[in-house]
Amino acid sequence: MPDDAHIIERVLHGDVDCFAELLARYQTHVARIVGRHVPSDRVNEVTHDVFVRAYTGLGGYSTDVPFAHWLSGIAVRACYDFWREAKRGATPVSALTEEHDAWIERVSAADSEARFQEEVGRREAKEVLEWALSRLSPEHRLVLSLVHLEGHSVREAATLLGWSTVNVKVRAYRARRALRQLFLAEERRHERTES
Amino acid sequence: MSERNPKDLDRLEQGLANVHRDREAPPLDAGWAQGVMRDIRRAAASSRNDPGAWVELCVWRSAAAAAAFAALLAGSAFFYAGTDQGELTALLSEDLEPSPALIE
Repeated sequence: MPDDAHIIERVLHGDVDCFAELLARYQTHVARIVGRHVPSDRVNEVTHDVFVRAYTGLGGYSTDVPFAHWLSGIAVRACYDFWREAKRGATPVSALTEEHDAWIERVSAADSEARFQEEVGRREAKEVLEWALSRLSPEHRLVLSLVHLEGHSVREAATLLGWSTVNVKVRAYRARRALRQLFLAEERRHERTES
Repeated sequence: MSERNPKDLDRLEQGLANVHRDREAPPLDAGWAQGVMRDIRRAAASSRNDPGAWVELCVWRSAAAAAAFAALLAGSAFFYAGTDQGELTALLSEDLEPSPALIE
């Protein structure tokens, strides 16, 4: 089986059909990344865009880094672009309900790991996450997801986003603070409606 | 609801991180790969036939050639200027040398 570098070489020499092999090898990898960052009904479209960008930028690929890493960067930047576009057409996520507030309360106070995992598996968990992320800027959303939610290091996130490490560090700090402020504001709103 | 302490927020954040990591991408549609390959073949064909791409390539190549020529010119100017400077210094120094007395 030819390695990635060999296939890329052939694609660059005009054998475009060879790209189908790269597509077969990496479509799951890319779809997994994209699936974490964009709504599930847009995963097909964004993953498609990632591979078209990869093809058009293939001349700039250096075999010093594994192809999967290079592709991951394109995938993350395509997700970032998706949210920048989406922000212009803003489709607001509905506000939190009593159910969500109760979930926040329960997960924060879960006294055992089993209880915690049970709460994490609930439908409300996904909705609260979507609500919170939708209230952040595209920059904060991506950085928060990569650094705080997925556990990438600042350096890894910087490579994926094509930003400087200082930029990622500052934004990661601000994004986390923004997330916490969101929940504190939500708590105050909940208290006001209760009283 | 009591005032949330940082520990509660850490727990909440940890919960959201678990939810995020557990998100699974839906399977790609049947025919998805063919759709991508169709667009890629189209992009390849348009870059081969696009006169704009050819012009762009020519512009870049001409720019590279012009830069090389400019560097060569600058280098040679510097080299010859240096020589001239040397010669000029030598000539001036000859002028400034005490001339032999006209009248013994």
